[in-house]
Amino acid sequence: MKQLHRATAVGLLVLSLWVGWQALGLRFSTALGPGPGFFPLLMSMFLAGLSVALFVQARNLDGGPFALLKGVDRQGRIRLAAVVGTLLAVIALMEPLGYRLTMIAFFLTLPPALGDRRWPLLAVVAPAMSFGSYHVFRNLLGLPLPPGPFGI
Amino acid sequence: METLDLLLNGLGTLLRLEYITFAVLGCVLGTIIGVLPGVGPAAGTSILIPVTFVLDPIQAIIMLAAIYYGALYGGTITSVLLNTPGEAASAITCLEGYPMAQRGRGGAALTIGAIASCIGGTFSTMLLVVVALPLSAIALRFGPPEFFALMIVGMSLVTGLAGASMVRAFISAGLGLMIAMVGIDPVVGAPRLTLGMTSLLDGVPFVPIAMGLFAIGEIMLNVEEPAKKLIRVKMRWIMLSRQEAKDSVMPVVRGTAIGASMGFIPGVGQIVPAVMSYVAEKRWSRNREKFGTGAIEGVAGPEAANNAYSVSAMIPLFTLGIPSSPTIAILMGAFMMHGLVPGPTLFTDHPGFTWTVIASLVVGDFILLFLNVPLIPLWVQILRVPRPLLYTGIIMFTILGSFSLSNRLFDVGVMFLFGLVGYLFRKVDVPLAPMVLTLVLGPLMERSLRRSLEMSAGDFGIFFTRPLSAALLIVAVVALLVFSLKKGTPVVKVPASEGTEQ
Repeated sequence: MKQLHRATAVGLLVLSLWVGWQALGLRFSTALGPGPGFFPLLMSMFLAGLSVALFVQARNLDGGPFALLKGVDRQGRIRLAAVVGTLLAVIALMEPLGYRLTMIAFFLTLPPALGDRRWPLLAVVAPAMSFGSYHVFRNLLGLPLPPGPFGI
Repeated sequence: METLDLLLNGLGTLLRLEYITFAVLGCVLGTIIGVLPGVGPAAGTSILIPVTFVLDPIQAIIMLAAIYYGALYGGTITSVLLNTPGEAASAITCLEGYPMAQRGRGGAALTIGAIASCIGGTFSTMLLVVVALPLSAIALRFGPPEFFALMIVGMSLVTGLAGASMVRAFISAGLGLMIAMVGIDPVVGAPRLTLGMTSLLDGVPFVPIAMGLFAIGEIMLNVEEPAKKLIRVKMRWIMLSRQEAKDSVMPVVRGTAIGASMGFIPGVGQIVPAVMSYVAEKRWSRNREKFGTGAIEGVAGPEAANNAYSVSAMIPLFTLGIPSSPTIAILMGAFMMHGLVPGPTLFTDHPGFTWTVIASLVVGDFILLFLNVPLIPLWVQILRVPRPLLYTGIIMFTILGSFSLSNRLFDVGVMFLFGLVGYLFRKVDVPLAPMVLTLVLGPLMERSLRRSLEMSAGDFGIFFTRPLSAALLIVAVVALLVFSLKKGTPVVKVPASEGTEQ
């Protein structure tokens, strides 16, 4: 876990340095008091200090290989990758394909990757959830959702 | 008398069909959310916020509040029948509730759980009614320095109580504050930290962040392991015996007192009152030898405590505008999205809304009592939904909820990003509660700080020359010192599991 904690600390340090750099481009004070750069600069220094403290604290942890997925077996990593991958795919496809087609693909992809491969059931659930949720949110609640090609 | 009049007016408004319907709907949804492992009240509330945009503010907040305390009832069902808490606060109920179910007394456990929850929640609502006007009258005398100091107290308590490491808790709080600064500066109007993106000019949207941290992050953690087969214990009879009823009286009283008093302290979290009640019952019970084998006191006390806590934790929200837990912070976000600012001005500017919502807290507990006990077999059926389909459905709702906020895929991307952050933070033991609280409080804190410094022409001494502000800052410093001396010893070690509030 040591490397994971240290990597997190380095990431936070980079983020806080970036925020500090952005804050230096803003006014620190105005005639009325603190300016827009005041709080961000304060926070960036605070977070930078904490990142260093986290990095130092990590010395007490076990070393070893990069530990984000320590203890997770191969099947678990596949399931995790499936959740991440399908979410990314939804974000990429929702506008070109529309909500309903994207959700049908989502329901036909993620449950099998998570272990449910009852295709006849999925063939019913996927369009039902996709069209059903579209109807509830778009038509009943009036919340807009992207249409797909040919109005699907 | 004035308070009673206001409450009765609120009750009169609530009993209209357009409002009572949403109280019932919220209770049903909350129970379902509580039954579902992997979705806690924080995730459930954040997922359903976008649905409330089509409702008026009273309907929206009534429903969301009902979901919040309804989830606690649902969590008890799975704790007793399946030895699996539906949400973190019900984990303690597993200790005695499941052994009771194994002895064929599951129905009695669920009945006393529902009754104890109703009593605890109702007492805390009465407490809210009694202290609301006096506390908000005091808070109306607060100026920007006092509000800033009060928020520092809230943050220090939340940060100090969250997890074993102060460094990680402060990292979480600092990140939340930093994210809250993205967007247009509230005083001067200059864009900050927006990366040149117009999507960020309004700031990073709060609801997708909450959905990502609590729902997506939790699902990612859960899918690492295959879904466990749940062994169900059959429930035969729901009535309590006379002895069980007699043995439950004092635990309910003690649990209610513990939960109601802890709601005033930000950062305590739902599970602490339940743990303290269980420990108290083990100490005070005449049947100590029964603990671990199905002692009804170990169900009655904690259930009363966690429901009493859930309502009394709303007192700082309503009267001072300070959220005391992640779910209440999300509720506060919902208030603001509907154009309402929680705090003392709520009672003066929107009395009709405020007292109707408070009346719904009174009525909601009774709705849950009548919903839960007879319909237990129905709630248990929800658990038959296979986990792959359940998780896919939950993710679908989070996508829907994020997208429908502003009709942008950008918000879905934010949810995804914070899902990864939530997962990573669970792995490195960075608590999520401070981040969520500072996300909500951050803009208010900055505004209060800058207004205070404008009042004093830049002199920080204003926080120390005003007695109330100075007293609050001293409380914050003392709290942080106490917590840092106890470092490495968390108040309660909460495992990273479904929708955990820390």
